[in-house]
Amino acid sequence: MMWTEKYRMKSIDGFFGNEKERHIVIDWLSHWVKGSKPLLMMGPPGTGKTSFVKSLAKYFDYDLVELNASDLRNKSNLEALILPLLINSSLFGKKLMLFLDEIDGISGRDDYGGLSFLAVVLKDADIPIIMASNSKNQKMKDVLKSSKIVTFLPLTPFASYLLIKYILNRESKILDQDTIIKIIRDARGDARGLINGLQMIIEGTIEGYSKIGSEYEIEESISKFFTFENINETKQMLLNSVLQFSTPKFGYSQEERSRDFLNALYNSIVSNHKNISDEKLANLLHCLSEVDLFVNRIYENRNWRLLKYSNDILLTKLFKTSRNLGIKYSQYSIPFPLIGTIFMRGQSLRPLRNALSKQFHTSTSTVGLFCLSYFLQVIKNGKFGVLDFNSNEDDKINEIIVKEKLRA
Amino acid sequence: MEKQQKPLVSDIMWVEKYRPTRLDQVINQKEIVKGLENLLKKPNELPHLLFTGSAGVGKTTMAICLARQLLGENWKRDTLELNASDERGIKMVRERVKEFASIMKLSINQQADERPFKIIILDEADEMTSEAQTALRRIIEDSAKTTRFVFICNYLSHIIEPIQSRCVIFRFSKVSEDEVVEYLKNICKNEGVKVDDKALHKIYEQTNGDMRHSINILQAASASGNVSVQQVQNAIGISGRSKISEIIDLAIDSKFNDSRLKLLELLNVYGVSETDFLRYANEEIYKRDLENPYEVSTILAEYDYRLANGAHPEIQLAAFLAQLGRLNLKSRKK
Repeated sequence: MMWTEKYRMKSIDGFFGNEKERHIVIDWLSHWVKGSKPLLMMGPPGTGKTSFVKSLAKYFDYDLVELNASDLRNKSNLEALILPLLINSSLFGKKLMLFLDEIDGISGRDDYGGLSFLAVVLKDADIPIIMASNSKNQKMKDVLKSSKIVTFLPLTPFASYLLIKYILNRESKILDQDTIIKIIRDARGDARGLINGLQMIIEGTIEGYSKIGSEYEIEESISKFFTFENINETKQMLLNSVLQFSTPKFGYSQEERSRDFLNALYNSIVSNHKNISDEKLANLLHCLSEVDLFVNRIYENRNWRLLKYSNDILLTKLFKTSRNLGIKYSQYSIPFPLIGTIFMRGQSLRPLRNALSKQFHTSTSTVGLFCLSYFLQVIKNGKFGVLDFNSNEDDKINEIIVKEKLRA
Repeated sequence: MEKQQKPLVSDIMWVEKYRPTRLDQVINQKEIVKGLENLLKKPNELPHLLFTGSAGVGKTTMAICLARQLLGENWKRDTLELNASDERGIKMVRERVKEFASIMKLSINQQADERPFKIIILDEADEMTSEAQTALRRIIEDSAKTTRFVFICNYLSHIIEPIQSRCVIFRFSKVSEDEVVEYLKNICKNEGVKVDDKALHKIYEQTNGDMRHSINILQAASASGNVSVQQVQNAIGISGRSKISEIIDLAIDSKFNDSRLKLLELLNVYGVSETDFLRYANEEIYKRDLENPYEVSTILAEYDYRLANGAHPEIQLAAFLAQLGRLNLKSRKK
């Protein structure tokens, strides 16, 4: 049995972490009466939401009816499933509890009407309803409004430590302190990640396990990509690499950015531009742009199965042309002091650009092209004090202007 | 504090100070002014409008004049101005337009012959995704009793047919040099600024009749109370628009990294959009004495497509700059 199932907590008092939150849940259920608000458990994966609900049902002797993201949850499906439960609950003999897992996964498209139906049902339920969700989103606002919310936090390092100790004890194993700390750090409070990491190390099936790519691993992969002689070897290396394809267009986190394969290649290529001929540089970037096109198509159409070809396409386009150019890994495409000023000034000017776009009845981009610098020039030329932008950010914007005036 | 003492930005900046507030103050587009004034005589029969034409010819100005004249004092409250190039998706239509269009249906008992009392100005509507435009179709019809739409765009062909067919279309012509010069001279007279005819010509040459740009240059150049060609030249040099010219020059000179840095500054500090960059980059290509500008333009078109369909805008634009550097255009000038 995989360890994440083996060590799924089964008894209500066997959990690690989120003690206060679990108390709130127990408290809610023991005081539950018809008309009570349903309970919504928020929290990242691996904080024990699902396991806890299951043990809770067992302890309080409820029959648990569970729906999760694998079930189609559009309006008519939910209606068919839930309404009979709510209306005839007393006929089942045993007490019923409804558990809707992963409600943030209720899709707007395929589960049409599901959430709004839920919001209605929740208001006046005959049985306790518990929901679980990893995140909040706009679609859920009605559900949020009519629920009691309890937020589960990632396991603290201490709780993580206790969990590891517990498992080690059960397995009759010992582990050095450094490895334990590494596991705790890498799992970042995800109990499942913690258990997986532990299993990999103890059972030794996979050596050098790593969940989250470190700077070193990214650097190593990119360096290998540009220096390996053999294309097959490179492909094998990429399969085990922490690098991933992603797209900033849909917004991405710091972690995604650091692992973004195309971004890492791009930064490495352009920061080595001095050693690459114009012809080669144009060629490399052109090939990169082609792969970029392919990756975005996958994202836009959600054709994830096509992602497996990305490495092949990348190698076909980029491998030959990028041999022997001495390209080294670089995290930033520009020396940091330079990019720092560009991005910081850009950030700080944003409220001014937005205010001018309202004032001048035009888009922020047009402001940048035809208004912003003229406006700043006029302000520098004239002797104006504090200006009225007719905005609730007036103070902030005037501060920005003072700063800009001080720029040479 | 001395709240009343704060000068309004719209009083300081000439481009706003001298923006016409009534249709009859608009200097050009006489036919359109006449047409709109006629339509305003029967406000309850006013159709939806679609203004198309190049930048700075008075499309937004006329839409605002119309709103003022139709709605009177409270025009600001009852007008929703949206710029689709800043919010272009279907979310904008659903959240902002739909909400604005539906709130008022409840607020007032509608008489059959009552005039429309809300105006939605959708600027740069050609930047809207077609999904968003499609979502508008029903809203336009459902709110027809109370709301009038004014669509504004540069390229009529980017507006989907169903929206075009729901609007009366006005095509704005370019503002002529005489009209621009006359308007700028009037401003100078009012502001007590001396201006050189050559300087005005220089402004027109640069802006090609874009009023907003013309007036902004004039004001930035007028610091000393005297506008000369040199001052106009200096003022032109500071704009985000002229940065694009520098970026293209550097790229053609195979100074890839310098041009890329300037581009990053344009996008981040000035807040210019990637698509606007390419649009004006294309203009720049034809301004240069290149042997075959069409070849370059074709490359640009390819990257414009990739920008829209690619994942990393920065990779696409950098690849474009690198292409310019490879072509060796400098030695191949006519």
